[in-house]
Amino acid sequence: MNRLLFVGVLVVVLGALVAGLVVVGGPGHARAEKRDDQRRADLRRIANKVICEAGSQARTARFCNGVVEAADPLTGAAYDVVRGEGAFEVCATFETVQKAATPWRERLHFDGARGCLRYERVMPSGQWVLKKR
Amino acid sequence: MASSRDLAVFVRDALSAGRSRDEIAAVLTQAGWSAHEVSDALDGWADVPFAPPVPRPQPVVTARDFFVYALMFGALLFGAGYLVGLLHALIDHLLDASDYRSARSIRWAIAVLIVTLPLYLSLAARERARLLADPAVARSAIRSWMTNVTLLFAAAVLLGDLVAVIYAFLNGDFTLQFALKALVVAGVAGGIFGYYRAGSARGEAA
Repeated sequence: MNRLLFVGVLVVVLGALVAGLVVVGGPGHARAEKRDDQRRADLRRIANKVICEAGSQARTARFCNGVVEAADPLTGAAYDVVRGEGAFEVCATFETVQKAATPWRERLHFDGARGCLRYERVMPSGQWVLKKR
Repeated sequence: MASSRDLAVFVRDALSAGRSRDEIAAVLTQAGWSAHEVSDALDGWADVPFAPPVPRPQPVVTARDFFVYALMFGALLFGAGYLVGLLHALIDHLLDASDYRSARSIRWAIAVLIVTLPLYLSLAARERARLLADPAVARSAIRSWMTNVTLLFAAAVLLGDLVAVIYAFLNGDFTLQFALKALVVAGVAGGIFGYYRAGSARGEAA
């Protein structure tokens, strides 16, 4: 293999590897992404539990089965649940920037790194509806 | 029907009997052998004034060659495929902000390349050193087969790429993103094709 070609191949492949690592981040970032996935799932489970406990929707009763024991995967702290009149929100502090165009991004309301799922009760049906951004 | 082994024995006997190459070629052609078969049979014996006829070295097949070349060309094709995938994912990431699914495929491609790149380069460098030290390596039938299989793959990918470009153009999908991706495929496949085409031409000349 002649030297110029060898160097050329090496530059292209190593360049692609470095660019790839810059785009996706290292293992620490990947772990943070996985924890954020876990947080999103936890928020939904907690929200379902809250709706279920509100007891107004018989068809959500299946969510009442079992105990939701969710805590932040990094800090171990409980998630914030703020209940109001006809509305509530469950919040977590996320570690990675949630990309704007992802499907779940529009469901979460962000204030800095803190993202919340917000639900409100719609009258007269009394259904809990997820507020989109 | 006589086999090519009979042909080789006949040519050896004829040369031993002092017949000229032209004479032998003429009778063989008369007997129905093709020009290609005749020249192959005559090329099996060196054209030197010596009796008995001196055999030329023949292509060799060894298990070790199969191991080394299958590994080397496997690493090349596998690595090239994932290099294309990685570059495509990077193009998507740069040009399409809505793309959020690429992180895993990028990580997988990086992992594949971290293994295949040093493997291919070290095997290729070793084989090159072996070839320089011992030109008999160039006669490895497996090396020749693997080179030609790689050429076939590269040519198929290039042609497929061309078809995809023409289709995208006709279908009105010829975007910058598509053009860059097609260019990446053409660059990688064309590079491999050009390198091994030149290598096999050198090998045949040697």
